[in-house]
Formats: sequence, structure tokens, C-alpha cells
Amino acid sequence: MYKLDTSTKNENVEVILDGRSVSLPSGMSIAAALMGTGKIISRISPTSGKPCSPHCLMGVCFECMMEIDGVQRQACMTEIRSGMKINRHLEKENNNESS
Amino acid sequence: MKTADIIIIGGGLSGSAIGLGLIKKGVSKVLLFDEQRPTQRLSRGNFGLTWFMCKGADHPVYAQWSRLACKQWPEYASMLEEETGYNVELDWTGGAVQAFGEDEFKAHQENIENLKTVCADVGLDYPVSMLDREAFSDLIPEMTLGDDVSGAMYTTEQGHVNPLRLLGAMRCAFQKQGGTFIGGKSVYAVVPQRDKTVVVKTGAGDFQAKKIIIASGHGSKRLMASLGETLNIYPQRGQLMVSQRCKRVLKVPVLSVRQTMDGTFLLGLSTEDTAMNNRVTADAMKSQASNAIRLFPELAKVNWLRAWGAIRVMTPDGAPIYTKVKGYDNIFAVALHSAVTLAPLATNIVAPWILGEAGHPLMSNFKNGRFNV
Amino acid sequence: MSHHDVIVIGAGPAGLSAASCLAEMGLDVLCLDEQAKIGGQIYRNIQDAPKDRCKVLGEDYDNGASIAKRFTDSKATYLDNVLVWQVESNGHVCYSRLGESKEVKANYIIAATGAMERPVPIPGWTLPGVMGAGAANNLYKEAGLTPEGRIVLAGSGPLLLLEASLLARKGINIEVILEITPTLPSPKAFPHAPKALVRSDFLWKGLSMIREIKNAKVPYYKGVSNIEASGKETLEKVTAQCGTKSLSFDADLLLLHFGVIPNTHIFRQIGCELSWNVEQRYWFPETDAWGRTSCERIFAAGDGAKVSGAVAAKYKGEIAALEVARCSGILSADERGLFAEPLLKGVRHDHWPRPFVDQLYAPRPDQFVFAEDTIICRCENISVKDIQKMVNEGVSELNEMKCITRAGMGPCQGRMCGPAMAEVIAWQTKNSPDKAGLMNIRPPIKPIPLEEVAAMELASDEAPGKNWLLDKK
Repeated sequence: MYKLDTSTKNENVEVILDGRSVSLPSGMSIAAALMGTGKIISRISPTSGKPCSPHCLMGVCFECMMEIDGVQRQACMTEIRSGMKINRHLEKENNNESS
Repeated sequence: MKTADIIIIGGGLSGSAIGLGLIKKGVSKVLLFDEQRPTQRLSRGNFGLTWFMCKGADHPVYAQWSRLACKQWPEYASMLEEETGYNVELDWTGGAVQAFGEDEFKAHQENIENLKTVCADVGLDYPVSMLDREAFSDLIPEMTLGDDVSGAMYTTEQGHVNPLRLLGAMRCAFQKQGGTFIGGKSVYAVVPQRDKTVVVKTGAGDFQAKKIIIASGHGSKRLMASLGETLNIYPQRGQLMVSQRCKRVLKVPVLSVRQTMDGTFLLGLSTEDTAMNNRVTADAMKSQASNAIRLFPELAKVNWLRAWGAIRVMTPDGAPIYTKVKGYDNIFAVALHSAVTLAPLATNIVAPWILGEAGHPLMSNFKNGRFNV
Repeated sequence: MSHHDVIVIGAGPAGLSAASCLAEMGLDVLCLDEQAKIGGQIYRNIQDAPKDRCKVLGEDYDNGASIAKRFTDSKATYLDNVLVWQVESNGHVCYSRLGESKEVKANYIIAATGAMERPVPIPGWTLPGVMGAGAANNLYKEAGLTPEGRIVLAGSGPLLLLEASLLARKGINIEVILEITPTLPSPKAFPHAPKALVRSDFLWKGLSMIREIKNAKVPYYKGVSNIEASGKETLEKVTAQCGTKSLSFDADLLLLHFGVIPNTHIFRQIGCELSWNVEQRYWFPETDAWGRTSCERIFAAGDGAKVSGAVAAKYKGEIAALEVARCSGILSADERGLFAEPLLKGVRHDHWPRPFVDQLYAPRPDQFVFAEDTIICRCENISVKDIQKMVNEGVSELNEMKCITRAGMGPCQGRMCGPAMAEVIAWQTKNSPDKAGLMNIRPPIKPIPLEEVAAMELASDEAPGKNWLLDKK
């Protein structure tokens, strides 16, 4: 869907994404880094159960909410930093199912 | 002029519940007016507990009344779902009030003993017990208790519900069974006529009815005053906070923290004297957040989404007002907080009472005039 | 608790100009920016964008460089990554930064929080692969990302065409542009045409944009309706109706744009009065000529006050700053007038073509008739049908609607669904959308973790200041 401009000299940073170590471009928001590397799904909606993807990229739509260092935040408003723990919880189904 | 059998001024929890009761009793033309002013939608400020626990410590009649309401709740919820398809999310999982430290534990124990006595005096049981920390923890295995939680008072015979869905459901049932709902129009005046009917002047024109019920929350005071009686209510602010949706782990509602069926945590509930100011304050939010984290530390990382305030209709003794306006046989007024808990009674007991039926023996305790003694 | 002369919220053209002006005057100004770098949306990443990117984006983007430089030179105190979550009309601001929430205060607040793309639901708009056209623009400015695959642009408004021309300039293939604007311009636009001619440069720019799109041979339809996105897990196809013709395109990316509206959440949370712009169908904070809202200490500037573009925002930000400087005792009314004169001239110059363009692309009520199964509240997964059912049950006010359906109760607090919900109610009740009211906005303006609130240090009212005379040891 999006490709990274290879001429920009952004260094990569190591983050833990969904439990695994991943190398992502730096100098941009987490959402941009994920979109630019083909990881377009940001979360599973707790209400529809469907996969969501960033929509507005400016902090309005909240589709890019994901767990960043333990707290749910907008990925498009959070700059990517080395060592961040990012979890999109993509394996979860409907979050509000009572067990 | 347009006519009706009964006009209800105020389509909030109480007005809608009573309207539903009247329709069920076969009244043919019932009009329910609701202004839909956002600041006056008091059901927003209701925590959603359908509780009798802790109620009526110095008012045995109120204790009885709340208990009676709780007993009717499960059937009330099923009735609404059957008739409208609305799931009001009644979760009959009991309720708890936490104690922090030893002093609070003792205080709760005393509170239970006191209410047992008060209830026994009127022939009622009070099935509440005190749980120690371990028992409380066993009750809600998926939650971790904060370090200084010493225990909780607990009962199984109550639950919690979605107040706003409840409002939608009651109004839907009312309309489905023949009631007329007029939303977004104000009622300016109530004008009793010589022929014992009453004319109601509204934004949708004038209407004439045989009976009028004033159930407009804080707006009721003005309408009562025009009829020559002071309604004994005063405003009391409550602030609440809600979180983002989370996986459902807290199955038993606790007094200041409950997790709704859609997974959001509701925190509250303050009690403040701020006249009609319904803004939220940073210190209330901070204290509610601290309290919630003190109770359940894992809430620390949960996102707080919204805080809001609502102004309760409070009466001097905390019990409801169901009253005939002085000098009139056909004009009634209702004013109360806890309209969620008491909704079944509004439909099942208050509505028939308005129609002149013998009524429940407890009804005579809720006159507006009782404060003038 | 720190106390400033002015807090400026937002670091786009309005915020930067306001803060620069105030700092240059010697006032203690604190600029709070939600983003990591100054520039807002239009000048996103202006200070770090590589030269070739600036070249592609053109002079409209480049203009931001001088605004940014002025700001950095002015030495206004700047905090990045700040989430302002509560503002009170007495000048108190609560914000979150780096996991901690704080309360600060100022005598005056200039809120320049900008605008957003008008959210217009279409079937399938929640599918991955459907985004705002502005989103693609932001990804390019911030990270140099360019779209690939089969790209469809749909909607209306100058920014849609701007994005199309940018893509064409970069040599990106566009499948089709689906414009809902009718082929024949609205007759209401013609009276404004002469004024627009005053700014031949602006018109020339518009025409070159259209020429760029034409030269790229992009299929282009006008008067389109019933745009729908479909696919199983991600976008696969876009369909639409153009007159009697049914259109269908395989697609990987659908960029939607239906105009720009002020992002009013901060003003609603404060409690400012808002007004309804009938022609453009949006709410905006009421302001006087200087940008002062109905709350005396709160000023609004930029697209957040009225959608007029970056150049007007730059001027309006500074105009508000001048008034704040006067209120702070730094400028006399005469000086204020003197300094404001060139700015007002700039605003007038910028404004000439706007009424014409605004009318050309003015939203029409029939654009907001949605298919009943369309999701209207994305957060809570509520459909148009659910809203219509409640209107049938007598609910015609947005807060009531929100309470009973949960639409608007999700994390976005009605940003994405509020405008469309009002349109649904309007269509059904045959009233104008403003009659449906506005959803109450309560703090926090955006979600923050409970632990931050619990740990916050609150201002107790006015700790007594030190008295140097009495404290002498």
C-alpha cells in the first residue's frame, strides 16, 4: 500500500512488535513506520472484531490505537523509539467477551 | 385542542417507567413529553447499580422500598427485552463495597449490623455479609486486590444495569404499546381548568388532559411552584469517569468501580453541593482514579476516556417523592434519585397508584408534605 | 505550578505565528504541540524534510520554512509530544507528556488546534486500505511514504485535486478520480467569480493542478454518487454511480476527501459558544475580530476557528497574539492597530478567491444520505440504521442519541461520527443539522491512563508568593 522512499537516510531502530524483535525505520511515527513496512493492520476492533488500519494519520480517528510500552496510545501521534514494546494484540478476538 | 387521558411531563427514567405502567394498565391516551436537554438527562449520572445494600440506614421505609425494587428487577429486565428487543444489560451478580484498612472493615461491619436491625424492625431480612480479604479475592478471581483492601461487604441479591439502555427500552415499550412520545419540545405551563381538567402549554401546542404527572427532574420545581407548592428537592452533583473497553474481568460491581457489559470500567461517584454546575473537577477525577487504583492496581494502565457530571435530584431524607400536588386530585409529582433501582416500582406500583388503585401500603410515606412536619 | 503569560496550543501556521509574535514582544509564552516536530498538518516535518520532498510539495509547503524559522529564532518555550487533555476558561491547562500529567496556567490561551477532514461514511470505509487523502499527504511529508498499487481518489474539494496532482507529479499511477461535485458548478458560485479573478495567481495554481492531472491521463468522473468500498479483510474494489453509468474499479488504496472542517473539541470542552456555518455545514467557535472566543481568556486562530487555509492561519495567529499583547499591557491599542494593519491586508488578499472556491465545493445535503447499513460510529460499530431507529423512537438530539446507542462513546469522542450523525437526524426530521445539537465534550480531550490522573499534582489555588521584605533573614 505504501513504500518507503529509499533515498531518505533514516536509520532503523529495533523494537519489540507483537512479542518479536523487529527493525523499523526511525524519524517518523510508529504508524508511518508500520505502514511503510507493509504492516497495515493496527488493531482488532473490540466492537466489530474486524481488523483496523490507520485512517486519518493525524490523531483524529483512533484507528491506530495500540499498546505502546504498556499503555494504549495512538501510533500516529507517537514517535518510534528504539526499544519500544509495541503490541497490536492481533490474535485477540472480541475484547469484551465475558468468559 | 388536543386531548389525552394522562400527560407526563418529563420522559426520563421515572416519567418513562410510569408511562409504561399506565399503558400496561390500559390507559388509552398517554402523552410523554421530553425536552431532551442534554444537561438535564439525569440518567447519565446514574451509576447503574440496582441496589438495596446500604440504603435506608436511618429510613427503614426506604430500605424496604429499595429491597422491593431489587426483587422485581430480573423480571422487569426480561419483560423489557421481550417487548422491545432492547438488552438493558442486567447483570445479577450481586454487589460489594470495599473496605480499606481495619477501621473501615469495622465500620462496614457496624453498618451491616445496624441495617439488619433496622430491617428486622419492619419484618425484612438484610442478606448482606462481611467478607474478609481472602473471601473478597475469591469472589473476583480475575482481579488483583490492592494491598490495603481488607475486605468488603457483599450481597448476592442485587446487580447492575445500563441506565441509558434502560431509558431507551422503557420508552420503546411505551410507544410500542400505544403511548405517544413527544421529544424535543418544552412544556411551559400547567394550567388547571375549572372543569377539573388540566391544560398543558407546550412547544407542540396546547393539550388538555384529565391527569398530569410532573416528572421533570429539576424542572419540576418550577411547575410545582406555579401550582402553589414547593417541591422539596435540591441539586447534588455526582461526577463519573469511564475507561476504554477492556476484556471483561470484574464480574461483581463494587460501589465505586464497576465494569459494564461492554467492557468499560465506570468509576465514581462523588457527592457534591455545586448547585446546578455540572462540570467536572480535576480533584474529583484524581481522587476517583486514585481510589480505583487503590482497589484494583491493574487499572493503573487502563485509559480514562471521559468524565462527566450530572446533577441528582436529592430529597432531604434521600427517599423518593411520589405525591399529589396539594389541592389537586389529578396532578401528581415524582422526584427521586436512584430512579434506576426504583424503575420497576414506578411501572408496577406508582402507575396504578396514580390511577387511583389502592396502592402499596408504603406509598403513603413518600408525600412531598412529609418534610413540613 | 508554572504560570505563563500565554499558552499557545498547536504548532501549525497559526500557533507558530502567534507564539513567535508573543515571544518577540517579550512575553512568557509556552507553546504546547501534540506532535513531535513543529509544522502542524500543512507544514508537517518542514524543518527536517529533505530537499527533493520540498521540491515535489512546492512553494505552498516551502512557505512554512520561514514561519518555522521565525518560531525557532523567537526562542518561545516549546514542548513537543504534549497531549493537552483539559483546558479551563480560567486559563488552567492539564496535559500529559512522557507518561506524566501536569497542570499549568496562563493568563491567556490561544488554541490553534487546526482542522480535520470532514468524516463522511461510505459503505466499507472502515476497511484497511481506505484512508483520508490528507492521511496520504501526511505520510509523505512525515516519512516520505508514497502510495503504491491501484489507487482511487474519491470525494470533493480542492485538497482532493491537490493530492491527485501531487501523486501525478511524483509519477504515481492513479486508477481514477471520482468527484461528487457536479459537472456544472453551482450557480451560487458565479457572483463570487469576479472577486476570485483578483487573485490570478491562485487561479493559475488551480488550473495548473488540473492540467497536471489531465496530462497524467487519469480517468476523471464528476457528479459521482454512491461510492462504495468493498473487500473481505482489506479493500479490493471501489464502485460508484455516475449518472446512469455504473463504475467499478479494483483497488488497493482508496483516498477519500470531502472537505475540511474545524476540529472543535477543545473549544467544546472549555465551554466556548459555537456557531453553525450554514454554507459549509460545520460548527466553529464564535470569535470577535481578534479571535477572542466567548470565554474572555481563550482565543481561537487558524483553521480550528474557521477553515481559510495556511496563509490566513499565519495572519490570524499573529492577530490574536497582538490582542493578547495589548491585554497583557505590552501594546497600546494604537500599536496593536499599527501592527495589525499589514496582517489584515494579508488576510484580505488571501481571501479573494475563497468565497468562489467555497461555493464550488460547498457540501450539499444529498451528499449526506447514507445507505442504512453503513457504519457511522467506527469506534462502537454503530450503523446508520441504528441511528434512524432511534429517531423513529423520538430521539433527535445528539447527546441523547449517544447515550442510548453508544455512538460517540468510543475513544474518538464523536470526532468521526458526530457530523454524520447530525446529518442523519437532519435528513429524517427535515431539520437543519445544527438542530440536532452538539455532543458534550468532557475531559480528557483524548484518553490518558488512570495512573497519570491519580499521580497528578494539582494546583491548589494560589500558593502565597514569597514576600522578599518579610522573608529577609
